[in-house]
Amino acid sequence: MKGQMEEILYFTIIIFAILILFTFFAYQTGTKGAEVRKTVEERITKEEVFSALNNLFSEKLPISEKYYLIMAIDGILGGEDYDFVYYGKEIGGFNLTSILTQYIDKLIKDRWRLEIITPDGIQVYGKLPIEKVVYSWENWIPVPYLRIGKVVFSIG
Amino acid sequence: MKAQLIPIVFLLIAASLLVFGFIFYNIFYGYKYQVQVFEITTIDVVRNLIENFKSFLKLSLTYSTLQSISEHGLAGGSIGAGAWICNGPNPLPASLSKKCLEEYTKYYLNIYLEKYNTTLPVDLKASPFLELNYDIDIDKILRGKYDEGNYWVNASGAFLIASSKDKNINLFEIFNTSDYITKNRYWYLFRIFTEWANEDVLTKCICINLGCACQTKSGETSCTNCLEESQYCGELALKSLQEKFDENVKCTFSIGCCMEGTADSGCEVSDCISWSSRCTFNCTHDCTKPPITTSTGIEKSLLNVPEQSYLPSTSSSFLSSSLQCFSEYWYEARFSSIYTFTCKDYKYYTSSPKGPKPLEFTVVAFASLRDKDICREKIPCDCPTDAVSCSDCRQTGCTPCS
Repeated sequence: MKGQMEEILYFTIIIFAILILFTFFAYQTGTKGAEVRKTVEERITKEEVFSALNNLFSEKLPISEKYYLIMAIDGILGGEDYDFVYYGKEIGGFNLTSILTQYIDKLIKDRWRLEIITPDGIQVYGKLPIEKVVYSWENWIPVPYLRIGKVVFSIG
Repeated sequence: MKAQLIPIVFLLIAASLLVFGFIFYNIFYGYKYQVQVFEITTIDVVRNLIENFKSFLKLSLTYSTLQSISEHGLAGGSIGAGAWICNGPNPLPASLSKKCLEEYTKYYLNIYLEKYNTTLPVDLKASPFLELNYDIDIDKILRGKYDEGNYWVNASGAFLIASSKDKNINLFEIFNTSDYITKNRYWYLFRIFTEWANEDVLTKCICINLGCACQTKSGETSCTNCLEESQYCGELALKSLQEKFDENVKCTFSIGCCMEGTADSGCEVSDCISWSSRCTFNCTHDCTKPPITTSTGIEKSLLNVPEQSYLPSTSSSFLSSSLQCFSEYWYEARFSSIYTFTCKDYKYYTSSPKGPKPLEFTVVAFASLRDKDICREKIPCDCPTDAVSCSDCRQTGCTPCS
Protein backbone atom coordinates (compact mmCIF):
# COMPACT_ATOMS: atom_id res chain seq x y z
CA MET A 1 0.00 0.00 0.00
CA LYS A 2 2.72 2.37 1.04
CA GLY A 3 4.75 1.32 -1.99
CA GLN A 4 1.89 2.01 -4.32
CA MET A 5 1.34 5.43 -2.80
CA GLU A 6 4.97 6.22 -3.28
CA GLU A 7 4.76 5.13 -6.90
CA ILE A 8 1.71 7.28 -7.52
CA LEU A 9 3.51 10.20 -5.87
CA TYR A 10 6.58 9.79 -8.03
CA PHE A 11 4.52 9.45 -11.20
CA THR A 12 2.65 12.62 -10.23
CA ILE A 13 5.94 14.46 -9.74
CA ILE A 14 7.20 13.27 -13.13
CA ILE A 15 4.01 14.27 -14.92
CA PHE A 16 4.02 17.60 -13.10
CA ALA A 17 7.63 18.22 -14.12
CA ILE A 18 6.83 17.36 -17.74
CA LEU A 19 3.84 19.69 -17.66
CA ILE A 20 6.03 22.53 -16.29
CA LEU A 21 8.58 21.92 -19.02
CA PHE A 22 5.86 21.92 -21.63
CA THR A 23 4.39 25.15 -20.31
CA PHE A 24 7.81 26.73 -20.28
CA PHE A 25 8.50 25.84 -23.91
CA ALA A 26 5.02 26.85 -25.02
CA TYR A 27 5.39 30.23 -23.31
CA GLN A 28 8.74 30.79 -24.97
CA THR A 29 7.32 29.95 -28.36
CA GLY A 30 4.29 32.10 -27.75
CA THR A 31 6.40 35.07 -26.66
CA LYS A 32 8.70 34.64 -29.61
CA GLY A 33 5.67 34.51 -31.86
CA ALA A 34 4.40 37.77 -30.42
CA GLU A 35 7.82 39.35 -30.84
CA VAL A 36 8.06 38.15 -34.39
CA ARG A 37 4.58 39.40 -35.14
CA LYS A 38 5.48 42.78 -33.63
CA THR A 39 8.66 42.92 -35.68
CA VAL A 40 6.80 42.05 -38.86
CA GLU A 41 4.13 44.68 -38.19
CA GLU A 42 6.81 47.26 -37.44
CA ARG A 43 8.56 46.38 -40.66
CA ILE A 44 5.31 46.66 -42.64
CA THR A 45 4.62 50.07 -41.06
CA LYS A 46 8.14 51.25 -41.89
CA GLU A 47 7.77 50.02 -45.45
CA GLU A 48 4.39 51.77 -45.75
CA VAL A 49 5.85 55.04 -44.59
CA PHE A 50 8.98 54.68 -46.67
CA SER A 51 7.01 53.80 -49.77
CA ALA A 52 4.59 56.71 -49.30
CA LEU A 53 7.37 59.20 -48.84
CA ASN A 54 9.34 57.76 -51.75
CA ASN A 55 6.31 58.28 -53.94
CA LEU A 56 6.13 61.93 -52.93
CA PHE A 57 9.73 62.31 -54.07
CA SER A 58 9.32 60.47 -57.33
CA GLU A 59 5.73 60.86 -58.49
CA LYS A 60 4.44 63.86 -60.40
CA LEU A 61 0.97 65.33 -60.45
CA PRO A 62 -0.12 64.64 -64.06
CA ILE A 63 -1.68 68.08 -64.71
CA SER A 64 1.25 70.15 -63.56
CA GLU A 65 3.98 67.58 -64.25
CA LYS A 66 5.66 68.64 -61.02
CA TYR A 67 6.75 66.39 -58.17
CA TYR A 68 4.27 66.47 -55.27
CA LEU A 69 6.99 67.50 -52.87
CA ILE A 70 8.17 70.30 -55.13
CA MET A 71 4.65 71.65 -55.28
CA ALA A 72 4.48 71.60 -51.48
CA ILE A 73 7.82 73.42 -51.20
CA ASP A 74 6.80 75.98 -53.84
CA GLY A 75 3.59 76.60 -51.95
CA ILE A 76 5.51 77.66 -48.86
CA LEU A 77 7.98 79.80 -50.80
CA GLY A 78 5.14 81.57 -52.60
CA GLY A 79 4.32 83.27 -49.28
CA GLU A 80 0.90 84.29 -47.94
CA ASP A 81 -1.12 81.14 -48.48
CA TYR A 82 1.15 78.12 -48.10
CA ASP A 83 -1.68 75.90 -49.18
CA PHE A 84 -1.97 77.34 -52.67
CA VAL A 85 0.46 77.31 -55.57
CA TYR A 86 0.08 78.87 -59.02
CA TYR A 87 2.06 77.69 -62.04
CA GLY A 88 0.98 80.01 -64.83
CA LYS A 89 -1.90 80.50 -67.26
CA GLU A 90 -1.65 77.08 -68.83
CA ILE A 91 -1.37 74.98 -65.67
CA GLY A 92 -3.27 77.15 -63.21
CA GLY A 93 -3.34 76.99 -59.43
CA PHE A 94 -3.72 74.12 -56.98
CA ASN A 95 -4.99 73.60 -53.49
CA LEU A 96 -2.20 71.54 -51.96
CA THR A 97 -4.21 70.11 -49.07
CA SER A 98 -6.70 68.64 -51.48
CA ILE A 99 -4.06 67.22 -53.81
CA LEU A 100 -1.80 65.76 -51.15
CA THR A 101 -4.68 64.35 -49.13
CA GLN A 102 -6.14 62.63 -52.19
CA TYR A 103 -2.79 61.19 -53.15
CA ILE A 104 -1.57 59.98 -49.76
CA ASP A 105 -4.99 58.64 -48.72
CA LYS A 106 -4.71 56.16 -51.57
CA LEU A 107 -1.58 54.78 -49.88
CA ILE A 108 -2.39 55.22 -46.19
CA LYS A 109 -5.94 56.19 -45.43
CA ASP A 110 -6.32 59.08 -42.93
CA ARG A 111 -3.70 58.04 -40.34
CA TRP A 112 -0.83 60.13 -41.66
CA ARG A 113 0.79 63.50 -41.14
CA LEU A 114 3.16 65.29 -43.50
CA GLU A 115 5.31 68.16 -42.35
CA ILE A 116 7.31 70.25 -44.81
CA ILE A 117 9.96 72.38 -43.15
CA THR A 118 11.76 75.07 -45.13
CA PRO A 119 13.83 78.11 -44.10
CA ASP A 120 10.83 80.26 -45.12
CA GLY A 121 8.12 78.42 -43.26
CA ILE A 122 6.52 75.18 -42.15
CA GLN A 123 3.38 73.56 -43.48
CA VAL A 124 1.58 70.52 -42.09
CA TYR A 125 -0.83 68.28 -43.98
CA GLY A 126 -2.95 65.38 -42.75
CA LYS A 127 -5.47 64.86 -39.98
CA LEU A 128 -3.33 62.78 -37.62
CA PRO A 129 -2.71 64.65 -34.36
CA ILE A 130 0.89 64.66 -33.20
CA GLU A 131 0.03 62.77 -29.98
CA LYS A 132 -1.11 59.77 -32.00
CA VAL A 133 2.04 59.42 -34.04
CA VAL A 134 3.49 55.92 -33.85
CA TYR A 135 6.26 56.12 -36.37
CA SER A 136 8.01 59.00 -38.15
CA TRP A 137 10.37 59.12 -41.05
CA GLU A 138 12.26 62.14 -42.20
CA ASN A 139 14.53 63.20 -45.00
CA TRP A 140 16.28 66.31 -46.20
CA ILE A 141 14.74 68.18 -49.12
CA PRO A 142 16.32 70.75 -51.44
CA VAL A 143 14.89 74.27 -51.35
CA PRO A 144 15.59 76.97 -54.00
CA TYR A 145 18.18 78.40 -54.17
CA LEU A 146 20.81 76.04 -52.73
CA ARG A 147 19.08 75.73 -49.37
CA ILE A 148 17.95 72.71 -47.40
CA GLY A 149 14.73 71.84 -45.67
CA LYS A 150 13.20 68.73 -44.17
CA VAL A 151 10.20 66.53 -44.72
CA VAL A 152 8.74 64.51 -41.85
CA PHE A 153 6.17 61.85 -42.61
CA SER A 154 4.37 60.29 -39.64
CA ILE A 155 1.93 57.45 -39.35
CA GLY A 156 -0.47 56.59 -36.60
CA MET B 1 12.39 1.90 -3.18
CA LYS B 2 15.87 2.44 -4.53
CA ALA B 3 14.83 0.80 -7.77
CA GLN B 4 11.95 3.24 -8.12
CA LEU B 5 14.10 6.28 -7.34
CA ILE B 6 16.63 5.66 -10.10
CA PRO B 7 14.30 6.22 -13.06
CA ILE B 8 12.84 9.31 -11.35
CA VAL B 9 16.26 10.78 -10.77
CA PHE B 10 17.19 9.93 -14.34
CA LEU B 11 14.09 11.69 -15.64
CA LEU B 12 14.71 14.73 -13.46
CA ILE B 13 18.32 14.99 -14.62
CA ALA B 14 17.21 14.66 -18.25
CA ALA B 15 14.61 17.36 -17.79
CA SER B 16 17.11 19.64 -16.09
CA LEU B 17 19.63 19.08 -18.88
CA LEU B 18 16.95 20.03 -21.42
CA VAL B 19 16.04 23.22 -19.61
CA PHE B 20 19.60 24.31 -18.99
CA GLY B 21 20.55 23.38 -22.53
CA PHE B 22 17.72 25.52 -23.84
CA ILE B 23 18.75 28.45 -21.66
CA PHE B 24 22.41 28.28 -22.64
CA TYR B 25 21.47 27.84 -26.27
CA ASN B 26 19.42 31.05 -26.15
CA ILE B 27 22.19 32.89 -24.37
CA PHE B 28 25.03 31.99 -26.74
CA TYR B 29 23.28 31.49 -30.07
CA GLY B 30 20.67 34.04 -29.15
CA TYR B 31 23.43 36.56 -28.74
CA LYS B 32 24.82 35.65 -32.11
CA TYR B 33 21.34 35.95 -33.55
CA GLN B 34 20.98 39.32 -31.86
CA VAL B 35 24.19 40.53 -33.48
CA GLN B 36 22.95 39.31 -36.86
CA VAL B 37 19.64 41.06 -36.38
CA PHE B 38 21.49 44.21 -35.37
CA GLU B 39 23.65 44.02 -38.48
CA ILE B 40 20.64 43.41 -40.69
CA THR B 41 18.88 46.37 -39.07
CA THR B 42 21.96 48.53 -39.61
CA ILE B 43 22.16 47.43 -43.24
CA ASP B 44 18.47 48.28 -43.55
CA VAL B 45 19.08 51.70 -42.07
CA VAL B 46 22.04 52.36 -44.34
CA ARG B 47 20.12 51.13 -47.40
CA ASN B 48 17.24 53.42 -46.48
CA LEU B 49 19.71 56.25 -46.09
CA ILE B 50 21.01 55.61 -49.58
CA GLU B 51 17.46 55.54 -50.95
CA ASN B 52 16.74 58.80 -49.12
CA PHE B 53 19.86 60.29 -50.65
CA LYS B 54 18.78 59.22 -54.13
CA SER B 55 15.37 60.80 -53.60
CA PHE B 56 17.02 63.98 -52.35
CA LEU B 57 19.29 64.12 -55.40
CA LYS B 58 16.37 63.64 -57.76
CA LEU B 59 14.66 66.76 -56.47
CA SER B 60 17.97 68.59 -56.25
CA LEU B 61 18.53 68.00 -59.94
CA THR B 62 15.12 69.53 -60.69
CA TYR B 63 15.82 72.63 -58.64
CA SER B 64 19.39 72.94 -59.96
CA THR B 65 18.12 72.81 -63.52
CA LEU B 66 15.39 75.36 -62.88
CA GLN B 67 17.80 77.69 -61.10
CA SER B 68 20.29 77.50 -63.97
CA ILE B 69 17.56 78.12 -66.51
CA SER B 70 16.22 81.14 -64.61
CA GLU B 71 19.64 82.68 -64.17
CA HIS B 72 20.68 82.07 -67.76
CA GLY B 73 17.44 83.62 -68.96
CA LEU B 74 18.11 86.76 -66.93
CA ALA B 75 21.68 86.92 -68.22
CA GLY B 76 20.82 86.62 -71.91
CA GLY B 77 21.30 82.90 -72.44
CA SER B 78 24.68 82.51 -70.80
CA ILE B 79 26.40 83.85 -67.68
CA GLY B 80 28.82 86.11 -69.53
CA ALA B 81 26.72 86.69 -72.63
CA GLY B 82 27.44 89.75 -74.74
CA ALA B 83 24.96 91.93 -76.56
CA TRP B 84 22.74 90.08 -79.02
CA ILE B 85 22.79 93.02 -81.39
CA CYS B 86 26.07 94.87 -81.82
CA ASN B 87 25.68 97.13 -84.82
CA GLY B 88 24.32 94.02 -86.44
CA PRO B 89 23.02 90.58 -85.51
CA ASN B 90 25.08 88.90 -82.80
CA PRO B 91 22.82 86.26 -81.22
CA LEU B 92 24.25 83.87 -78.67
CA PRO B 93 25.00 80.43 -80.14
CA ALA B 94 22.66 77.78 -78.76
CA SER B 95 25.58 75.44 -78.13
CA LEU B 96 27.16 77.97 -75.76
CA SER B 97 23.91 78.38 -73.86
CA LYS B 98 23.55 74.62 -73.53
CA LYS B 99 27.15 74.19 -72.39
CA CYS B 100 26.82 76.95 -69.81
CA LEU B 101 23.54 75.55 -68.52
CA GLU B 102 25.20 72.18 -68.04
CA GLU B 103 28.14 73.72 -66.12
CA TYR B 104 25.93 75.64 -63.73
CA THR B 105 23.41 72.86 -63.23
CA LYS B 106 26.21 70.48 -62.30
CA TYR B 107 27.71 73.08 -59.96
CA TYR B 108 24.42 73.64 -58.13
CA LEU B 109 23.66 69.92 -57.95
CA ASN B 110 27.02 69.27 -56.32
CA ILE B 111 26.35 71.99 -53.77
CA TYR B 112 23.11 70.26 -52.82
CA LEU B 113 24.99 66.96 -52.67
CA GLU B 114 27.51 68.40 -50.22
CA LYS B 115 24.77 69.75 -47.98
CA TYR B 116 23.27 66.31 -47.38
CA ASN B 117 24.12 64.73 -44.04
CA THR B 118 22.61 62.44 -41.43
CA THR B 119 22.27 62.30 -37.65
CA LEU B 120 22.39 58.50 -37.67
CA PRO B 121 25.60 56.78 -36.56
CA VAL B 122 26.67 56.30 -40.14
CA ASP B 123 29.63 57.84 -41.91
CA LEU B 124 28.79 59.27 -45.32
CA LYS B 125 31.37 60.15 -47.94
CA ALA B 126 29.89 61.50 -51.16
CA SER B 127 31.78 62.22 -54.33
CA PRO B 128 30.39 64.93 -56.68
CA PHE B 129 28.76 64.41 -60.04
CA LEU B 130 31.28 64.50 -62.87
CA GLU B 131 29.03 64.66 -65.89
CA LEU B 132 25.85 66.52 -66.54
CA ASN B 133 24.16 66.62 -69.88
CA TYR B 134 21.12 68.31 -71.36
CA ASP B 135 19.86 65.80 -73.88
CA ILE B 136 19.15 68.38 -76.57
CA ASP B 137 19.89 68.39 -80.28
CA ILE B 138 21.35 71.84 -80.97
CA ASP B 139 20.10 71.91 -84.54
CA LYS B 140 16.53 71.37 -83.44
CA ILE B 141 16.41 74.19 -80.92
CA LEU B 142 15.85 76.81 -83.60
CA ARG B 143 13.26 74.60 -85.26
CA GLY B 144 11.14 74.72 -82.15
CA LYS B 145 11.47 71.14 -80.98
CA TYR B 146 12.13 72.16 -77.38
CA ASP B 147 9.74 75.11 -77.23
CA GLU B 148 7.78 73.45 -74.42
CA GLY B 149 10.76 71.74 -72.82
CA ASN B 150 10.42 67.95 -73.09
CA TYR B 151 14.02 66.92 -72.76
CA TRP B 152 16.09 64.95 -70.29
CA VAL B 153 18.78 66.28 -68.00
CA ASN B 154 21.15 63.48 -66.97
CA ALA B 155 23.72 63.56 -64.21
CA SER B 156 26.25 60.82 -63.58
CA GLY B 157 29.54 60.01 -61.93
CA ALA B 158 28.70 60.54 -58.27
CA PHE B 159 29.17 57.85 -55.67
CA LEU B 160 28.51 57.39 -52.00
CA ILE B 161 30.29 55.35 -49.37
CA ALA B 162 28.22 54.66 -46.28
CA SER B 163 29.75 52.83 -43.36
CA SER B 164 28.68 52.10 -39.82
CA LYS B 165 30.75 53.64 -37.03
CA ASP B 166 32.42 50.31 -36.20
CA LYS B 167 33.28 49.83 -39.90
CA ASN B 168 31.55 46.45 -39.96
CA ILE B 169 29.25 47.59 -42.71
CA ASN B 170 30.43 49.38 -45.82
CA LEU B 171 28.17 50.17 -48.70
CA PHE B 172 29.30 51.69 -51.96
CA GLU B 173 26.81 53.00 -54.49
CA ILE B 174 27.22 54.85 -57.77
CA PHE B 175 24.59 57.47 -58.51
CA ASN B 176 23.09 58.48 -61.79
CA THR B 177 20.02 60.64 -61.77
CA SER B 178 17.83 62.13 -64.45
CA ASP B 179 14.99 64.56 -64.69
CA TYR B 180 12.56 65.13 -67.53
CA ILE B 181 12.01 68.85 -68.00
CA THR B 182 8.56 69.77 -69.20
CA LYS B 183 6.42 72.89 -69.28
CA ASN B 184 9.42 75.15 -69.53
CA ARG B 185 9.83 77.62 -72.40
CA TYR B 186 13.42 78.71 -72.05
CA TRP B 187 14.31 77.45 -75.50
CA TYR B 188 11.20 79.04 -76.99
CA LEU B 189 12.29 82.43 -75.66
CA PHE B 190 15.83 81.73 -76.87
CA ARG B 191 14.61 80.84 -80.36
CA ILE B 192 12.44 83.90 -80.77
CA PHE B 193 15.14 86.24 -79.51
CA THR B 194 17.57 84.65 -81.98
CA GLU B 195 15.17 85.24 -84.88
CA TRP B 196 14.61 88.81 -83.74
CA ALA B 197 18.32 89.52 -83.37
CA ASN B 198 18.97 88.16 -86.86
CA GLU B 199 16.36 90.53 -88.31
CA ASP B 200 17.96 93.42 -86.45
CA VAL B 201 15.38 96.14 -86.75
CA LEU B 202 17.27 98.20 -84.21
CA THR B 203 20.50 98.92 -86.06
CA LYS B 204 18.60 99.88 -89.19
CA CYS B 205 16.49 102.30 -87.18
CA ILE B 206 19.48 103.92 -85.51
CA CYS B 207 21.15 104.28 -88.89
CA ILE B 208 18.10 105.93 -90.43
CA ASN B 209 17.75 108.34 -87.50
CA LEU B 210 21.37 109.41 -87.23
CA GLY B 211 20.39 112.83 -88.48
CA CYS B 212 18.92 113.67 -85.06
CA ALA B 213 22.44 114.34 -83.82
CA CYS B 214 23.22 117.02 -86.41
CA GLN B 215 22.36 119.85 -84.03
CA THR B 216 24.62 118.53 -81.32
CA LYS B 217 27.42 120.89 -80.53
CA SER B 218 29.66 118.26 -79.02
CA GLY B 219 31.72 115.38 -80.25
CA GLU B 220 30.03 113.10 -77.73
CA THR B 221 27.44 113.89 -75.15
CA SER B 222 24.39 112.35 -73.52
CA CYS B 223 21.36 112.41 -75.75
CA THR B 224 19.27 115.53 -75.84
CA ASN B 225 18.39 115.89 -79.51
CA CYS B 226 18.20 112.15 -80.08
CA LEU B 227 16.15 111.11 -77.07
CA GLU B 228 12.97 110.78 -79.07
CA GLU B 229 14.69 108.79 -81.79
CA SER B 230 16.27 106.52 -79.23
CA GLN B 231 12.86 105.89 -77.70
CA TYR B 232 11.32 105.41 -81.12
CA CYS B 233 13.90 102.84 -82.21
CA GLY B 234 13.47 100.99 -78.95
CA GLU B 235 9.73 100.87 -79.44
CA LEU B 236 10.11 99.73 -83.01
CA ALA B 237 12.42 96.90 -81.99
CA LEU B 238 10.09 95.99 -79.13
CA LYS B 239 7.09 95.84 -81.46
CA SER B 240 9.00 93.59 -83.82
CA LEU B 241 9.96 91.34 -80.88
CA GLN B 242 6.52 91.24 -79.30
CA GLU B 243 4.85 90.29 -82.58
CA LYS B 244 6.95 87.14 -82.75
CA PHE B 245 5.75 85.82 -79.40
CA ASP B 246 2.36 84.38 -78.57
CA GLU B 247 -0.09 86.13 -76.23
CA ASN B 248 1.46 84.55 -73.13
CA VAL B 249 4.69 86.51 -73.38
CA LYS B 250 4.99 90.18 -72.48
CA CYS B 251 8.04 92.18 -73.43
CA THR B 252 9.39 95.50 -72.25
CA PHE B 253 12.51 97.48 -72.90
CA SER B 254 14.61 100.09 -71.20
CA ILE B 255 17.27 102.42 -72.47
CA GLY B 256 20.50 102.00 -70.65
CA CYS B 257 22.59 104.61 -72.30
CA CYS B 258 22.24 107.10 -75.15
CA MET B 259 24.96 109.24 -76.69
CA GLU B 260 25.03 111.63 -79.61
CA GLY B 261 27.60 113.83 -81.27
CA THR B 262 28.96 115.42 -84.37
CA ALA B 263 32.38 115.61 -85.94
CA ASP B 264 34.12 116.98 -88.94
CA SER B 265 34.19 114.35 -91.63
CA GLY B 266 36.71 116.07 -93.91
CA CYS B 267 34.10 115.93 -96.64
CA GLU B 268 34.32 112.15 -96.75
CA VAL B 269 31.20 110.13 -97.49
CA SER B 270 30.12 106.91 -95.94
CA ASP B 271 27.19 104.78 -95.01
CA CYS B 272 26.43 103.98 -91.39
CA ILE B 273 29.66 102.80 -89.84
CA SER B 274 30.65 101.83 -86.37
CA TRP B 275 31.26 104.51 -83.75
CA SER B 276 33.35 103.89 -80.70
CA SER B 277 31.48 105.74 -78.00
CA ARG B 278 31.52 105.81 -74.21
CA CYS B 279 28.26 103.89 -74.36
CA THR B 280 29.58 100.40 -75.01
CA PHE B 281 28.70 96.83 -74.24
CA ASN B 282 30.66 93.65 -74.58
CA CYS B 283 29.90 91.92 -77.85
CA THR B 284 31.74 88.70 -77.11
CA HIS B 285 29.68 85.79 -75.85
CA ASP B 286 31.23 83.68 -73.17
CA CYS B 287 30.37 81.42 -70.27
CA THR B 288 31.84 82.58 -66.97
CA LYS B 289 32.68 79.52 -64.94
CA PRO B 290 30.84 79.19 -61.64
CA PRO B 291 30.78 80.53 -58.95
CA ILE B 292 29.02 83.43 -60.60
CA THR B 293 30.50 86.85 -60.88
CA THR B 294 27.84 88.42 -63.00
CA SER B 295 28.06 91.86 -64.36
CA THR B 296 24.66 93.00 -65.47
CA GLY B 297 25.33 96.70 -65.68
CA ILE B 298 26.15 98.51 -68.82
CA GLU B 299 29.77 99.53 -69.02
CA LYS B 300 30.37 103.21 -69.31
CA SER B 301 33.64 104.96 -69.64
CA LEU B 302 34.43 107.41 -66.90
CA LEU B 303 36.44 109.65 -69.17
CA ASN B 304 35.16 113.17 -69.55
CA VAL B 305 35.26 114.13 -73.17
CA PRO B 306 35.55 117.87 -73.46
CA GLU B 307 32.88 119.63 -75.38
CA GLN B 308 34.02 120.27 -78.88
CA SER B 309 32.16 122.01 -81.52
CA TYR B 310 32.24 120.59 -85.01
CA LEU B 311 29.78 122.92 -86.62
CA PRO B 312 31.39 124.74 -89.50
CA SER B 313 32.77 128.18 -89.03
CA THR B 314 31.43 130.79 -91.41
CA SER B 315 33.93 133.52 -90.73
CA SER B 316 35.58 134.95 -93.76
CA SER B 317 38.47 137.24 -94.46
CA PHE B 318 37.03 138.34 -97.77
CA LEU B 319 34.91 141.40 -98.10
CA SER B 320 31.38 140.28 -98.85
CA SER B 321 30.07 140.58 -102.35
CA SER B 322 26.59 140.90 -103.70
CA LEU B 323 26.82 137.42 -105.22
CA GLN B 324 24.87 134.72 -103.36
CA CYS B 325 26.93 131.57 -103.85
CA PHE B 326 26.69 128.51 -101.69
CA SER B 327 28.65 125.39 -101.19
CA GLU B 328 27.25 122.22 -99.70
CA TYR B 329 28.94 121.15 -96.53
CA TRP B 330 28.47 117.93 -94.70
CA TYR B 331 29.72 116.56 -91.45
CA GLU B 332 29.47 113.48 -89.35
CA ALA B 333 26.65 112.66 -86.97
CA ARG B 334 26.97 110.06 -84.26
CA PHE B 335 24.35 108.23 -82.33
CA SER B 336 24.56 105.28 -79.98
CA SER B 337 22.04 103.64 -77.75
CA ILE B 338 21.99 100.56 -75.52
CA TYR B 339 18.76 98.74 -74.78
CA THR B 340 17.73 95.94 -72.50
CA PHE B 341 14.82 93.87 -73.76
CA THR B 342 13.07 91.65 -71.26
CA CYS B 343 10.34 89.16 -72.03
CA LYS B 344 8.34 87.27 -69.41
CA ASP B 345 6.52 84.06 -70.13
CA TYR B 346 3.24 83.82 -68.22
CA LYS B 347 2.26 80.47 -69.67
CA TYR B 348 4.40 78.43 -67.28
CA TYR B 349 5.84 79.66 -64.02
CA THR B 350 9.15 78.32 -62.79
CA SER B 351 10.32 77.70 -59.22
CA SER B 352 12.26 80.46 -57.50
CA PRO B 353 13.17 81.43 -53.92
CA LYS B 354 9.94 83.46 -53.84
CA GLY B 355 7.78 80.67 -55.21
CA PRO B 356 6.80 80.07 -58.84
CA LYS B 357 7.43 83.09 -61.07
CA PRO B 358 7.24 83.74 -64.82
CA LEU B 359 10.41 82.84 -66.69
CA GLU B 360 12.28 85.95 -67.80
CA PHE B 361 14.63 86.29 -70.71
CA THR B 362 16.69 89.46 -70.92
CA VAL B 363 18.86 90.49 -73.82
CA VAL B 364 21.06 93.53 -74.39
CA ALA B 365 21.14 95.16 -77.78
CA PHE B 366 23.12 98.15 -78.85
CA ALA B 367 23.87 100.18 -81.90
CA SER B 368 26.61 102.75 -82.04
CA LEU B 369 26.88 104.31 -85.48
CA ARG B 370 28.09 107.34 -87.34
CA ASP B 371 27.58 108.58 -90.83
CA LYS B 372 30.13 110.95 -92.28
CA ASP B 373 27.87 112.77 -94.68
CA ILE B 374 24.45 112.70 -93.11
CA CYS B 375 24.41 116.27 -91.79
CA ARG B 376 24.23 118.64 -94.74
CA GLU B 377 24.07 122.35 -94.91
CA LYS B 378 24.47 124.99 -97.52
CA ILE B 379 27.00 127.55 -96.42
CA PRO B 380 27.82 130.78 -98.22
CA CYS B 381 31.01 130.85 -100.19
CA ASP B 382 33.61 133.52 -99.69
CA CYS B 383 33.13 135.77 -102.70
CA PRO B 384 35.41 138.76 -103.38
CA THR B 385 33.76 142.04 -104.18
CA ASP B 386 34.81 141.82 -107.79
CA ALA B 387 33.52 138.30 -108.27
CA VAL B 388 31.29 138.04 -111.31
CA SER B 389 30.31 134.38 -110.94
CA CYS B 390 30.32 131.76 -108.28
CA SER B 391 33.34 130.13 -109.74
CA ASP B 392 35.29 133.20 -108.57
CA CYS B 393 34.27 132.48 -105.01
CA ARG B 394 36.22 130.47 -102.52
CA GLN B 395 34.69 127.11 -101.76
CA THR B 396 33.91 126.88 -98.10
CA GLY B 397 32.12 123.53 -98.15
CA CYS B 398 32.56 120.19 -99.73
CA THR B 399 31.18 121.06 -103.14
CA PRO B 400 32.08 123.88 -105.58
CA CYS B 401 30.21 127.12 -105.09
CA SER B 402 27.01 127.40 -107.01
